Amino acid sequence: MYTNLINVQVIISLLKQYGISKLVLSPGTRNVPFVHSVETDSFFKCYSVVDERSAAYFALGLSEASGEPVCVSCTSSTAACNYMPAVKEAYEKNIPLLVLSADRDFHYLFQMEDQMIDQVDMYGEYVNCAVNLPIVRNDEDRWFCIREVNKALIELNHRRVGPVQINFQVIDPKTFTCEKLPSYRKINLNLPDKTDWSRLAKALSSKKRILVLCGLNWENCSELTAELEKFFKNTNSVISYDYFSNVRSEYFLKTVLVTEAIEAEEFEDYLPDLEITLGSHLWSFIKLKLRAYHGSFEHWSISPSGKLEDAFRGLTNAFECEPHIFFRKINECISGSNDMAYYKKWKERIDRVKFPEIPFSNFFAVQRLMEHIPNDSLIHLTILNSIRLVQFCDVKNNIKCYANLGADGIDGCLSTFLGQSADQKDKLCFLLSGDLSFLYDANGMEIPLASNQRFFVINNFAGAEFHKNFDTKAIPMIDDFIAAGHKTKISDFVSDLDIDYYSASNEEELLSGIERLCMPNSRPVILEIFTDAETDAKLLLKFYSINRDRSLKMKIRRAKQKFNRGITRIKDAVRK
Amino acid sequence: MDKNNDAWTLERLVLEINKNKITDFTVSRKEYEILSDSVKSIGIWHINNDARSAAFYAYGMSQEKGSPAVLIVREDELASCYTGFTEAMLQHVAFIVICIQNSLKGHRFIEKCISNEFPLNCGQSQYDLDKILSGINDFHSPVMFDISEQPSNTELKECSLAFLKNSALKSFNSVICFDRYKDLTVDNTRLYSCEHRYGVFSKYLGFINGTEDKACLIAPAEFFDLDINILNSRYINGRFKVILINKNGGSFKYKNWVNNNSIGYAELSEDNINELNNYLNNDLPEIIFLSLKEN
Repeated sequence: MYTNLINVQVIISLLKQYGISKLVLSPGTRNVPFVHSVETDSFFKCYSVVDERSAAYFALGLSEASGEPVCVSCTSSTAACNYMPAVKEAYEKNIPLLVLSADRDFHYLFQMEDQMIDQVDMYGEYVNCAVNLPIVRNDEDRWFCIREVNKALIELNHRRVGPVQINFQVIDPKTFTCEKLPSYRKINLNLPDKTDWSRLAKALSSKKRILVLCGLNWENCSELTAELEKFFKNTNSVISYDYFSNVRSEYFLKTVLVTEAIEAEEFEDYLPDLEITLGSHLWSFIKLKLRAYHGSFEHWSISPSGKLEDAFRGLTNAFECEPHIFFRKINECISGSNDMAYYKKWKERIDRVKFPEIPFSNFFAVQRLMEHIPNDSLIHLTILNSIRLVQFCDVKNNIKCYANLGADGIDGCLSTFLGQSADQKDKLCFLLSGDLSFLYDANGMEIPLASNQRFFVINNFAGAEFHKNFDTKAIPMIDDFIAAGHKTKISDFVSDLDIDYYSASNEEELLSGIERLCMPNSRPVILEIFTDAETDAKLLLKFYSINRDRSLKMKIRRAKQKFNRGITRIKDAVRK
Repeated sequence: MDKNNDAWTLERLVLEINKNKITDFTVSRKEYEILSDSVKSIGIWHINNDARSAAFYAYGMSQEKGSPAVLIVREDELASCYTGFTEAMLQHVAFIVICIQNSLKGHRFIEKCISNEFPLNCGQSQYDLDKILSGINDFHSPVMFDISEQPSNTELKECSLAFLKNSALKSFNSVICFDRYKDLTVDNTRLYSCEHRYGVFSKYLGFINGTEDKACLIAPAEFFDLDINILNSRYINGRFKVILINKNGGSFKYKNWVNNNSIGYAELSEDNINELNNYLNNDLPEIIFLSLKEN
């Protein structure tokens, strides 16, 4: 019988899947859920050593002799401190020692709880990785435990062989009514020179709906594009891009046109059976739609750092390599063709996207700029509206797009742009910014500006994003603090700078200003466009609204899903 | 402020501490032996080779006396002090730790239990030592001073084990030995650094349980003091063969402990070394206390 504690079940399940069978156990109450579960499981070979310091050294010897990782387990508090000398030695001698330190509920730390110290990351620099598992109280906790345990076990011998710590919190050490240990998801980390690409290619060939999501990327763009095109032709895939992935092809689809607007219920029709993500970050709201169906599709991720981004709770394979190398390796092994069924489904939906009549607004201004921006330009878009609006426009293939979407901050967009454009004297470089983003980082303009720099600033005198997200009828004072309304014009600021300034409050002025922006000039140029935040927000919401599926079929599905969620909540409550 | 530009040595710091009426010093035998006689005459010296025990000892003494004791440890022993420092911190007991370092590298783990650390090994100190020392109890947890390692003339001397090379050790798959010992030209010798002197026997026991091979351990006898409790183990079997090398004279303190755990014990010297094979070749767990002639 096994413990009912899910975090402990996850550890045991994954120990088995990772082939770690040798356990050196020291006695104590906190780790009884683990100890009793493993002592009755014939997969494990258990040893008992009372002194934790000796136990860990015993484990070192066992690991050296057997060539396998060995796990040590102890109760809470200074028992875990006693592992330190052996952990340090394991680190110095590259021995894969797995420390399982049982802990109490973290809410009670330093609150007069017995036998409790701060055990989180307690071995400092002498472990490859340290993770802390909470008591599993909900699905999020379970998901967290699965990926953290995988992360820890991978780090036993990933970049360097050495010790890792899994600290896990325990309540109720006495209940063992789980007869069959559930199998929790293992995440495989694949290194390019140790991967069986043929096997993977075969797995890919069997998939009916592969969705490749291209996130932020600016390296090896042309090679990646070429490999993605080949991949598309050989598999039942859809290659989804946005302008920050800097991969564009007639074969790829800009799914963001659809996914920002549609609701989760409609997205069920577009679910993949395998999703492949690449790029440093994926910003599109397709994430939210995919999250709503977490666990119902498999996920592979490709990243040079090999990070485990289990965003959709279905990550089974992470590939530590550049994306273009992944696809090149797969393409070398794969043979097949795209039946186009999944592609056509997406394409048909994208072709149905409608645009409302667009009056003079930020949306209007961005559309006009994108129509006129010269070839081979560089454009930096500030957080957040600029980014979204540009995705809804057509941007030429040879325009390179950047945004600070790593952390989504408005604090350094202007300076980032100045850095990006400083060395690009042979091309025009555009910053497409909102007023708050521009003013926030205005100090950056202290750097001498260049004649190839162009500033397109939409000034709606507030953070328009908040007008979109919040009902201004419910919050009439939204501009006081939430949207940080102001009365500043950019002209007030740039009048001291060596820059040509233009402004626009209507279509005619806008087009004239864009023309000046897009032509060579001996000085940098700034165009300030005045719009209204509320109008801008309403227009975007209208765009979303007219692109939602309001058919009876969707209404029924929505109701069904709501009903199912309710049943799940009732079941969870009864279980508790 | 420390106005003396001379580097802080252990002796200088001990004298400074003692000026503040702190008299109890806990130290390993090795550090005690390198102190001058004049320093040894100051205060009361408590010798404990096991840093873990020493840390608890210093904490216990400080708690009971109400005045801080001093623990002197080497940097590589800090890991063993982790648990004693943590207990002292949780009990709000202050005592002084002098850490002799051979590097300027910090140890992040120590921040969990030592929140007041004063490096005295980075050039001229900026600390008002008198003020710190006179108010040690106000820290309510261990306080650490870091000094640099000084050259010592009591480093573990190398010695030759050439006389063992034709023994039954040749038939073992592994001979685990320490880098202090030379001339043991037996195949499959695994050399461990003498820096790793803790848990030697625990590690060896784990080793023989992780393989079917025959493996023998040759270790300095003084290392046994640091791992005594491992003999209370279910996993000692006929393949447990340990040779303790004694170069310091004296006798083995734990004969009864060994015998009571059903382990064979023998005392040999270079003069009757030919008896060694009897113990190595039998099917019983054995500890052989082997005394070498002093050079």
